[in-house]
Amino acid sequence: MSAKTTHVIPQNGGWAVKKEGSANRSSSMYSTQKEAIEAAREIVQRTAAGQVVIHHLDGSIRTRDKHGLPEVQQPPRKSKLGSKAIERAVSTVIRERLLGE
Amino acid sequence: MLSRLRGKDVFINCPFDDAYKPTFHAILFAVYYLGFAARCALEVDDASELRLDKIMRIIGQCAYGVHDISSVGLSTGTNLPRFNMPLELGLYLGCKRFGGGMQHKKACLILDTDPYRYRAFISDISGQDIHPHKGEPKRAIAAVRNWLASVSKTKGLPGGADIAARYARFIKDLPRICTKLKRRPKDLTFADFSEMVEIWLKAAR
Repeated sequence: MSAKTTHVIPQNGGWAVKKEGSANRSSSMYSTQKEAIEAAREIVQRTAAGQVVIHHLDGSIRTRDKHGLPEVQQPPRKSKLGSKAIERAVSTVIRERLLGE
Repeated sequence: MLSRLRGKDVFINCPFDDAYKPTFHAILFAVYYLGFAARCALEVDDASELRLDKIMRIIGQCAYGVHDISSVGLSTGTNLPRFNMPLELGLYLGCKRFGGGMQHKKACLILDTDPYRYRAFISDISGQDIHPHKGEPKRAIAAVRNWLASVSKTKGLPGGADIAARYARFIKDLPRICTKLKRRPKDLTFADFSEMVEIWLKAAR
């Protein structure tokens, strides 16, 4: 599988670590976000290129520990839909997909 | 006025009709995945700027250009051929040759459906880098990836199959993203689609 991202995502009162592209099949659960981030970081550091994406309880996301991946450039012109609105929509869809909702 | 060349900008010269959209979107996705930014005439909706001025300004800024000349057949409505893509390719090659400054460093990839078809309608471009995609987005992704990796001398870029797999995932997510934004995928502008690609890649590549 080609995916380079490992997600840390809230699930059932704990924190799940899920590799992008693996859906529900392979994930591990942690009681704290800190433990989950450490586990995700270890997974990513074993790969030639990867990143950890942390999903917060409010639905926002941020990227950490990116290595070996090219920087994603900003488009020349911003969408009139609004960056925040697109970020919310994208993070919601990814979360729903990862959690099988 | 001499434009400053932007080393991450890729000029996309291709048809913008619905039939070509899957290939256009695949190329755009590959460009962003590889760490570059896609530019084209659709990025500006300023009606006060003449279309040709707009195109020439963008060409002057881009270090790279992807030109798809596959859509030269007769239009069903007018029964006339379309010359926009060959014209923009000519402008790009002219800018590289006569633009001065760093413009000679420009690189370009020419795509067509078949490898030697161009000889029948634009034989003067013999010797340029021409790659066939057979109308398949996956092949267009691979061609763009291999060419950009080579001309930008960037090592360790993901392979064409990797990018195509992630593109398939993105296209699967896109209708749901659009639903959340109360938009139909077919109504997305170039700016909408580009920013969705950027944000999605940062979260799920």
